Amino acid sequence: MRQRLRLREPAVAVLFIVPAFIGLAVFFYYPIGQTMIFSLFDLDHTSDWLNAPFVGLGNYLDVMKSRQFWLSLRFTFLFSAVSVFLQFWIGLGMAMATFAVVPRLRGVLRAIIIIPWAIPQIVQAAMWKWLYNTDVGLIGDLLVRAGLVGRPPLFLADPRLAMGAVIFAYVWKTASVTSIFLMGGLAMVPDHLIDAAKVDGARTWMRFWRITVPLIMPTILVTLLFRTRDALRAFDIIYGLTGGGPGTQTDVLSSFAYKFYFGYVEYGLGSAYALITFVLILALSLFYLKRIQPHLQFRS
Amino acid sequence: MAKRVPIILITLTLILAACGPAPTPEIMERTVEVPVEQTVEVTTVVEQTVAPEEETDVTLAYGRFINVSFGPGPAPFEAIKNAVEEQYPNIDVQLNMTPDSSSAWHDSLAVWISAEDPTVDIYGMDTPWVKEFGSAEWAVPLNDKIPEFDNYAQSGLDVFSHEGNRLGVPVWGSISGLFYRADLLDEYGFEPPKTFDDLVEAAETITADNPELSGFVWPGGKEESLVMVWASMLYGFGGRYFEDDGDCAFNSTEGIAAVTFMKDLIDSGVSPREVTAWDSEAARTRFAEGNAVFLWHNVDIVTWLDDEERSGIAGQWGLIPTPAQPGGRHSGVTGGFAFAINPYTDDMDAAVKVMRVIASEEVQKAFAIAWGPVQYYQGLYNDPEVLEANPNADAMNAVLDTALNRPPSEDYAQVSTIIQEEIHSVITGIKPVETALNDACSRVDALD
Repeated sequence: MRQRLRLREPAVAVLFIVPAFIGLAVFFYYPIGQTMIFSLFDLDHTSDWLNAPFVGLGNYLDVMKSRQFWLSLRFTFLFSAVSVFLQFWIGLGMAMATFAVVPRLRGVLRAIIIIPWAIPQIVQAAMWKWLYNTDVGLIGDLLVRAGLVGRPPLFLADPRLAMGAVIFAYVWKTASVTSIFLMGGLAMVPDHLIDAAKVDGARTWMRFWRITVPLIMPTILVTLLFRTRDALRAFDIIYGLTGGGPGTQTDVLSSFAYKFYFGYVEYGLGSAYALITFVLILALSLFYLKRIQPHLQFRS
Repeated sequence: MAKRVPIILITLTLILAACGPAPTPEIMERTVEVPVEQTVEVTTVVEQTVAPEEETDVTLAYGRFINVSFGPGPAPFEAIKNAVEEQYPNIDVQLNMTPDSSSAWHDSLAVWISAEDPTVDIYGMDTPWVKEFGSAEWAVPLNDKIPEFDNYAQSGLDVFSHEGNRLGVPVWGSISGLFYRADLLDEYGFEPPKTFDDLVEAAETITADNPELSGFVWPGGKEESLVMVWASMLYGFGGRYFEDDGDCAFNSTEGIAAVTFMKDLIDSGVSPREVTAWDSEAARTRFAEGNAVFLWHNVDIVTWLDDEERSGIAGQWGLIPTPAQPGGRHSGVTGGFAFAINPYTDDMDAAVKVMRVIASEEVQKAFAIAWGPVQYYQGLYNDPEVLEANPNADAMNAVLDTALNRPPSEDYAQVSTIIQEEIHSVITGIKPVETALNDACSRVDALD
């Protein structure tokens, strides 16, 4: 006689969680643990891995003493702050636009918004590199034709323009992701509240600040958390566009981990750079989560 | 029970037959005459089954140029594939294309080989990586595996050797020089410049009348070519890479003069400010289109500069060693690629076979026809087909004596990055020359 396997809810929950946990353990926790261990050793391409010298926090001290590290930290924070600010407001504007148009066009508009998000970052880097090209680039040519400049600007080699050029290319892609996040939040705003506010005489700006923003605040905070985290570890598009140049002007933290680990095959030092980046992102994420928590309601 | 009866009967019959008396042999005596000498021819037919050799793939890692021919012959990859197929039908040569940028190419290899990945069996190795790859044992020593090495110029093999180990089969060599517009220099009465001052004077005079032209173009983008340009300038101004005790000497008086000159070229307009974003391809395009008076470049473009379909200055150019100031030396920075074997290949035997084919005269000749000079296989430049494909090979003779290697270091990837970052900081106006060179030296000296 067949017996039905009866599991209590916690056991079912565990069953559902196990596959995801295995994935996380193999692809995230194990590499993080390995990176932690590597960062304590003087490991490079010539090392005997089993007898590599233990240097404790020596690699971390080397990182702290590196002037390039502090310069890139400054750029990373600046890049993240400016790009997240821009992508949030542009993304919010685009998301609200999809609700403002007639329903028939809503799908088309959303599809257009999603396109930049669907293009891989490294492909975008190649695309923007051509657009910014001084000799044959479209943007420089348009600026010259419009009479705004005498000759095409050196977007990627001029220290005054490189950072802006990199941020612009990055925001072009990420504003669409931000927009997708925020569309979800905006869809949850009940129409009757907006209608009631209209009846009460609230103007558009007031309805936005007093009704829409408070209601989508949890979505906004989660969006900012994800977007800031991604901006802090942005690498592909910057490396593809400028390689950290001109000089080291657009070097970001992630590029250090990459350069030391894969370029210079200094596994110990590269791991220390990666871990410091990880800790910074973790600290910022915890800060955000603390801010988000009061706005979130969980099932008890 | 009935089924068992026949079995019992058969068994009994066999037993009785075995126990019965054996037939008695009949004994007979006969005399047989046997000849003493007899020649017997015995033909033995041995049937042997030889197992066909197993099909296998050998993967080469190289940049996209392996699929490009600048001459009348097939692209080098096609030549290798065909030659291998002819000799070893069971081996199929595959291509794993690496990035164009030398740094990204290096990084890909570093990741693969340090992870002991066998995907790539044979890979293209750039000259500055030899020390690093040799010390990390990332390339299989080939000394006793490639008998064809006997046919090579020693210098070509030495470039790809580390501590006595031959690590690569050279397939292409290069050296840099100064290309100039012979027609314009003639028109304005200038001799090809011997010093940088001569170069600036000629460039300024000619561009004053022809403002659409650039004076002197070179690859000044933040990449490996910038290291080569800087090296030419450094030695051209009398500097050197390292002091006798191994300390960095980039920031010597001569070193500062060299980098100041590079910055001045841009500030004065002799070189367009765009050079700070250019790679070699962008610089040579400007020159080949007829839009520049002087070009710093590797000599390999001599193969097509006279091809009217690809060049706007056919028959109007010349090549000389990079200029040098009094006290400096004319310096042509060397480069080149060889094929090396990944020590973690899962089919060493097949990889060695393919390497021997690559090292053969047939394939080296294909390289010489497709890519032009410089190849190290001896006698290649006596071959009529190679000579026909390289009508300007003699032009290189002017620069061959000026060979200069890039800074030798086991940490070359880091040294190169430091030079790129600091020199690029100067020419883009981010750092003053002395600060950048002092920073460069303190960073290089801090390396293990």
